[in-house]
Amino acid sequence: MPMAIEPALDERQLILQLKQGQLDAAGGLMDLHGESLMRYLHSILGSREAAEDAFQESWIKVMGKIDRFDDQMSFAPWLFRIARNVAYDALRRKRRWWPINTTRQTPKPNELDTEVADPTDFGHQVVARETIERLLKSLSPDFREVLFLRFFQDQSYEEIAEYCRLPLGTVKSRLKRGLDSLAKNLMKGDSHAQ
Amino acid sequence: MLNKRTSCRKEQDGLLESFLSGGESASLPADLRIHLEGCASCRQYWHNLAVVRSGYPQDPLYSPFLRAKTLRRLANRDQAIRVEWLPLVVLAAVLSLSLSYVLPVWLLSRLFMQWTSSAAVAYGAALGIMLVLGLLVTVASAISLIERGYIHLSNGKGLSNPTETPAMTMLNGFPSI
Repeated sequence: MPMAIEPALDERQLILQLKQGQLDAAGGLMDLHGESLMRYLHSILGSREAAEDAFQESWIKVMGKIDRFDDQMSFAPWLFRIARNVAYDALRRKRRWWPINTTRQTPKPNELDTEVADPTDFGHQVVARETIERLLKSLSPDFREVLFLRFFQDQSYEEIAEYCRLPLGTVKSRLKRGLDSLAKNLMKGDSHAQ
Repeated sequence: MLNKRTSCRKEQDGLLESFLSGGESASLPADLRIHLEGCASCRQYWHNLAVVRSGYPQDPLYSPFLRAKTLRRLANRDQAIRVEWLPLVVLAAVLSLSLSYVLPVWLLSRLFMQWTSSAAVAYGAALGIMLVLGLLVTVASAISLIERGYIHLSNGKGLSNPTETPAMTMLNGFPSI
């Protein structure tokens, strides 16, 4: 799951095998990075189906470019950068054909689950997760991406800036605005319940 | 309540800053801690920041099914048209367009029609435009196929495929064009 660690020996061997044209090595690499890659793509695209399409597309691109991959580099950032390009291309295609508004859309309070009071209670945690999932979908992909990298991948601001090729200040402001929006929308749900 | 929240903007900015730098409520600045004790709205805000963090979707998204589907697509990709074939594909498209438009018109003109020179020029220009458009469509389709991975942009080096079927093996046995 961590993206910035040194590549393990197994990973190096798998990359070497993939360069030699062994397709099953791609399966091994998928097992190593599949879950975090899917989550990352999901964070950008906002739906499982779109993330799965982008996942497959990313691996096709990886296969096409693996000969150019420098073995001394870490594989995960390279893979995630390819996936990021694929995801944003998919978003652009989607916008071109289905001009939907992917900028911030705040759900109405009555669309929110209202029981998020106690995060130590398992039942509430499930509700909160569903609510947060829905709220995350209402954020723009740019905000979702940085929130995911910060809170799910435990990336530092500097790492996020490098991944997303954004200035550090933009990363911080997106994180703040995204988090602020989520917390305030959760609060709207609470006050609606009261 | 709304007025109270609006007036807490500065405090909530402070809470957000502390949260993002990994702060616990115990390590909050004293003024913020005092404010939290007296302000239910900010307490809820602070609480919600933690909820957002812990409530991130946890269900697994990667599955053996997705793995198999991706590997199958990677294997099929090797069977797709290779980029070396692209000039041939374009040539075939141009020939087919030419034969579809030029040949019938030429035959018709030879057999049934008497052309005046201006009509022939106009018709020829229209045909030319159609041919260029056809060519553009063909190139756009090829680019689209490349983007989607159906046309293989590699040096043509095949990949060994663990899920290779006998039919695929047989197909692989044919010399590449």
